[in-house]
Amino acid sequence: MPSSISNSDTEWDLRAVPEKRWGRIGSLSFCLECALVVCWEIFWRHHYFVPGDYEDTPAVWQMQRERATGNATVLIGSSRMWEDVDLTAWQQTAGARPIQLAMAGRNPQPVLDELAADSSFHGVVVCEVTPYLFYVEPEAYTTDFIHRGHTQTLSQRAANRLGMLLESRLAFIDNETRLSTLWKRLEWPLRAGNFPVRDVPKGHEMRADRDTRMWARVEADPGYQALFRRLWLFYAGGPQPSLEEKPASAATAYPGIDAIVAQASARVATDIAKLRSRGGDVVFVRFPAAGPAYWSEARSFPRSLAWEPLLRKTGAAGVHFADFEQLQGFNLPEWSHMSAADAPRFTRALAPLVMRAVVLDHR
Amino acid sequence: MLFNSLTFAVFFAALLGLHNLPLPWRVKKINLLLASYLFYAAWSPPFVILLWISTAVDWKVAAWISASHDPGRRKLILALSLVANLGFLGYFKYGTFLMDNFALAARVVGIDYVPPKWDIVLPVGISFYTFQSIAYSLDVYLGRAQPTRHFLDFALFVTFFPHLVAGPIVRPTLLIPQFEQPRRASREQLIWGLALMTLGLFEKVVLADGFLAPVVDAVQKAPRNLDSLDAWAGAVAFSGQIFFDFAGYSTTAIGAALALGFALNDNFNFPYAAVGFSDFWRRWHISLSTWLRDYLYVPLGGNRHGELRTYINLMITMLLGGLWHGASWTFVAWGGLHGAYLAVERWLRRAPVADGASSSAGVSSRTSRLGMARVGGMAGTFLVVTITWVFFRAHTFADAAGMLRSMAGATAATHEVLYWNDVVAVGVIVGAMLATHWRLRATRLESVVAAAPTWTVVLAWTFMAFVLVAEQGAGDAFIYFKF
Repeated sequence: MPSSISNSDTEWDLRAVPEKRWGRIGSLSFCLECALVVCWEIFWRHHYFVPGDYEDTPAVWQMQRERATGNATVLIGSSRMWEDVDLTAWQQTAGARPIQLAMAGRNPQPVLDELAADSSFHGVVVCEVTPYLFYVEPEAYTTDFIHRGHTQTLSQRAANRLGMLLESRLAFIDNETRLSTLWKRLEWPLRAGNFPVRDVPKGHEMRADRDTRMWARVEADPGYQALFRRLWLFYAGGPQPSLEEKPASAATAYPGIDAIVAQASARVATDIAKLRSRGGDVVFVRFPAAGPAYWSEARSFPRSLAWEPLLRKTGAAGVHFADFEQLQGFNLPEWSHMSAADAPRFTRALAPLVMRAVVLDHR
Repeated sequence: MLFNSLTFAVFFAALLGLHNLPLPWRVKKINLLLASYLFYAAWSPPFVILLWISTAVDWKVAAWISASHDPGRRKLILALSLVANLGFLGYFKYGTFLMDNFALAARVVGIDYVPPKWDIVLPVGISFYTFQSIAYSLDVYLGRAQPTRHFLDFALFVTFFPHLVAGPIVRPTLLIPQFEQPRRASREQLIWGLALMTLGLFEKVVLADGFLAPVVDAVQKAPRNLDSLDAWAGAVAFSGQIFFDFAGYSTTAIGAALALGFALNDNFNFPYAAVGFSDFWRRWHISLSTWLRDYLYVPLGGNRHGELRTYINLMITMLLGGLWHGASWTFVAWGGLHGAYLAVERWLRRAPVADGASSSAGVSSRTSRLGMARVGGMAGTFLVVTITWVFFRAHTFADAAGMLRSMAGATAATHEVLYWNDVVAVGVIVGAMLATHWRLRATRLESVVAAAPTWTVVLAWTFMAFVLVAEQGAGDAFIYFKF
């Protein structure tokens, strides 16, 4: 009878190592690998990529979420809040560094729900409103992102820290330089059901605390900029994409806009009430957009049918860029987001307006 | 902790260093055991308790069985191991499934029963370590082995991190003896182990996650009336994804163990080169198919009680094998289909073979025809296996039916969801996979590497390592973790 403590019947000796000079193979492979990685890094540094530009993952978002306690100022919304606000400029203007919780391309309402439900938070929420994303975008993408941030295992948390350490030193660690992404970006003929632009390409650079600015390539490469313009026209256009400025009216508005806005306002009003009961507050902000991206948004979500009812029904303060001269005249290279150079200037103009709105609200 | 994570890279480097320090063998084993618990606890610390219970129960059960000569008492003690291990598995993995089906059955007889909400997280790898633990008690009960004398060796056998969460399912007779004597990897074993880990991670991170998974996901999320090219590309991509994902895990596990000086058994042997389904199951997830054969099919009677009982035993084994993969009827159907293929194949093999081959002219023409027939057999097997994977991947039978209709071109309005980039990537990767499996079907990786020129090995390793770094990877979990 074979025995567990005898290895006479085992096959582990069969795990043979191929007859080779493994010392030489290992050393040569290691040296070649190091050389290739160095070349790869140099190549991408010559193509607008820089070290210290982090991937926006649920784990990175969660790190900031955990800081959002007490009377912190928290920024939520979508990519305009994320890219157009410079956290250092805000800190210099308002005194405290805000916490950036905006998510590119996502509906911010679940984030507001969560902050309202968190009894440890009683600060100010500055909520950017990009109409389509705020009113129509399915919330599942946001809730999934939040959920994945909340439910990280110990291993995932450690991996995130280690990943950020590498990202702080290496430029090529970026979703856009992954081989599968590069393959995906090759321009081949489109099939009938394909979107004209596949996914949203890299448009930003992000620091460790999610302080984000426009990526240099978007400003410097006209072809790349045109890609984004096509994309925003496709996404922001809704049912009324417009390449020229045309009047907005109920007839051009998103189908069922009244009900959509009423529903969102009612839900947001509940969150605002909860926050105010703890001494917190919410201020809505409409960020600048330009050209066809703005014209299309304005026709699909006219100010009188979307922005104004939201403020009226929630009783919250609001800052619309069109009402303030100091919030206009910035450089928006791809119509939707501010150039890296203009973001601090815009932030220094915006922060006092938001703070004043909060003070007025509390009187 | 995932093999394809930076956490694991740091963990493994530290462990490798620790294991090579001049420490007593017992201390090294304790280090390995604690490291394995840490590896598992990195997902969810409380579930380590399940591992401890499973380890303690089977350690005592095997000792009691070995000490007892009363058949009834031995059977009773064995039942304790089965109830404990299968009880955990049933509670955590099949609880919701059982309750839902109970409610469904109650509704059929007119009772409107609403089951309580069963919000339980499945402990990672529970299907693997419970099977491994049961094998130990069964081996002792069936007289195939005697229990080990050292609890530390047994605990390490159950918990050893390379195989802990997704196999290969290792037999006690293979691994426990390796813990008896001090072992340290030679320089050759260490480097070859690292090369195997590179190959496994390349398969997982680059091929499965980077290129094939997005195609499979896009097709899965799409409406049911897909264009047939998209449906086929999605189905074929899944055949590739599940192979590279799981074989990648097994190869990484084997490499990690070898770098520490331990040998694990093979789990895959170029499975898509299989000609026929019994051949497929000799090549695919070998550690599970042999486990099912030795601990289920053979104890059920195997082929020892006539033809009908053989077919019944085959179907029971494959249906339960399907259910092992997940608590859903689609997995049972997948297992059932493979059982049916095996049964039909067995029946066909019993039929008298026509003598045409022997009368044909010339040995070379006969060899050529045989070669063609083998290629056809392989292609046919791959085709049927791929179609059957549809049930494995689908969440519901309706999804599976929609996918099969799309593959057959039997849907009215069709959606094109894939880009040409996807279709070409699937074609190139799966084509290369099939060609490699076919070319290497009768050999082993070790023999291929041994025969290759040194510079080819250097370039191949460097290429895989570089592509792995360049692809970066998003730390996606392995498919078999949830089984």
